[in-house]
Amino acid sequence: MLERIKILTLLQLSNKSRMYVKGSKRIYTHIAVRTAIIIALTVAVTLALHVLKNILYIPVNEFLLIFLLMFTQGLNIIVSTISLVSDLYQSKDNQILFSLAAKNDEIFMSKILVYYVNEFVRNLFLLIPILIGFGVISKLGFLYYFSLTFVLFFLPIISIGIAAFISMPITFFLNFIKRHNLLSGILTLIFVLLTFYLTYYIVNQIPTPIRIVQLYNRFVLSLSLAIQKTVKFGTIYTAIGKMLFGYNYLLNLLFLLITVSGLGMLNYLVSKPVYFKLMSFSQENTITKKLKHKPFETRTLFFTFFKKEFTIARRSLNELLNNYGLLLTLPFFMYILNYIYMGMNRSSFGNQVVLILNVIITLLIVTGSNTASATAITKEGYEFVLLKTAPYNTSRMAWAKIIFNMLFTFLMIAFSFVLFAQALPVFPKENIWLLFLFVILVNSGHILWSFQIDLLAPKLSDYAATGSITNNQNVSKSLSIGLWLSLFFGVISIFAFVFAKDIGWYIMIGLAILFLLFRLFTFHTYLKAYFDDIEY
Amino acid sequence: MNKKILLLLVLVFSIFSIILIAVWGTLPENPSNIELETITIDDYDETNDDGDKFKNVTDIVTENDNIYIIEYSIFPDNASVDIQATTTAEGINIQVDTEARKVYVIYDLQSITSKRTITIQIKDKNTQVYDELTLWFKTPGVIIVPEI
Repeated sequence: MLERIKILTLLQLSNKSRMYVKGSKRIYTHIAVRTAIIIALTVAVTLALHVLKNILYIPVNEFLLIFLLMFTQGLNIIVSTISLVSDLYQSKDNQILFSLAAKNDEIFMSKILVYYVNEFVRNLFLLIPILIGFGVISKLGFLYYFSLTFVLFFLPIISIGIAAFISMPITFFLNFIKRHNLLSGILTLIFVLLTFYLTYYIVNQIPTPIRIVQLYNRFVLSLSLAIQKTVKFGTIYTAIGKMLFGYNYLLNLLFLLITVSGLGMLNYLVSKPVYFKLMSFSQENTITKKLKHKPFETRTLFFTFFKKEFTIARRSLNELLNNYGLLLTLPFFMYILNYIYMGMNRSSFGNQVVLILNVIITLLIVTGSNTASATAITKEGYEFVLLKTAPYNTSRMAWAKIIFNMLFTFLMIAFSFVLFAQALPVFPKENIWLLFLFVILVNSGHILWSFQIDLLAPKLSDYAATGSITNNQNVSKSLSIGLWLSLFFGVISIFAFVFAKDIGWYIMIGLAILFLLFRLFTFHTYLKAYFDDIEY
Repeated sequence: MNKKILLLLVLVFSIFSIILIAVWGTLPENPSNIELETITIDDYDETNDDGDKFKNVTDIVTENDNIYIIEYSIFPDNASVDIQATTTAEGINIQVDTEARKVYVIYDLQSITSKRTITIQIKDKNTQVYDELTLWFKTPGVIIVPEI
């Protein structure tokens, strides 16, 4: 069994690692460069700890080390869980590995070992600088540095052990969610609402009136206290921290050894019966689709395309989140920033500046979420050729895509503004809804502009070949135009809210309407002129 | 330009906007010039013949809870103060929350295990008015001997 695990591990390692010819000196260069990086990082961390201790007056003691261990290893556990879900259950090499003469648990153990080797090397760049930096600042002795040598080996085992165990229920949950799209959507909505409530709760802890210097002092104080208090929840990391500093050394070492072996046993015993089932249900070809209803027939071509957009959105929620994820941050930015603005004792000029900044920041976020329109035709890829062979006016597809984008962003922006109005009643209601109207108008114009970019230069063949829109120039152009629009309307709002404040909103909304009408006219003209000429 | 850069821009702009309003958009502060008369630490167990205040922190400061909070009050309540807390002991970090009128004494593990006795002085830098509290891990049978 051990021999088979060893062969499987070496097989995967050779596939995933950089290999050198036997006797090549390049391996020494590789090691020297990495050692130099670790030394540079160690110097940087030591200096950072010096700043914390002597300039920010944050206590640099055993409790800070325990906190840093918890924080870095906590992040490691999260990253490892995500990676292990992919490596253990969804990896393409599973199809090859499971065809070999090896047992399921042997494959599981070999994959964990491969991940451990990579994680150990990665951890060297993080743990050595932190732990040595701490030793230098706290002037610690031989026992500390001696203990470091085996702590460096044990810490990745703990984080991977926890991550591997958590990855099992998470994979089960993901497999379940993959078959229930509606549930996935509802859970996303609940997650956003809960996150907003949490933000609301945390931000409300800031005492008003807000004074920035005092706020900074309070932040440093709260950070220091939070760091010191987390030690109660550190469990194994508290034991490691105390062991490094020589408190109850043998007892804490024993606790560490028991935890490491316990995690190993737990993973082995639990994975043995469930690993194969989870892995096989994670593969794409295990999804069974049952057509329950007769497809709904639409009466017009526009609705056919419009319905298609909903179907695509429903089937690829990840892509939907990728396109509109930035918009989800809108209520958070609006609420946190306006809570701080409102918390300060503002002058009348301050109130005008608040409006100007709201215009700029809201437009920046909203116009950054129209990338779906900037790649609307591109994403049709090879199918666009087939689409154009249909004996209809297929340019209606463009309107269907635009209306879908407008409708979706309208709902998301409205949702953000309702949350904002409810959570911050001190902000003038009239300004909230006038800002909402202004943002919707400008955003609609930007959607038309983004689509026009893709209409004039679709990257159909690129997308058909790669299936990806990474580094797509149209996305880049759409985002740049959004940025310039935000700055342009920001400058206009300075004039409107400072020099002509009685008619400020009339100017802003009037200009937004003009902008939308102009974009509508140009888009319609370009669509009529160029849609038929688009080629693969 | 991509979404990550845009998000970074929004973050930078948000921080900039807060600074902008704090610097140019706020009303001037109206500081009171009322002079402080006393600072008082009320929570202590006993005093010695010189009137020095002592607080036993055994069972309050432990290896799992290394923070002791000293609450102080000032008179008059609306006096203009610049509070500073100090100690000469090593391994102790002190943080002051002037809003909540609390001083947080943060011990390191070494100070807790060696049961170090420390004296904290809370002083107003404007008037030099101060009060002191000695925190110690009292062992049964120990009495405070006055300085001769």
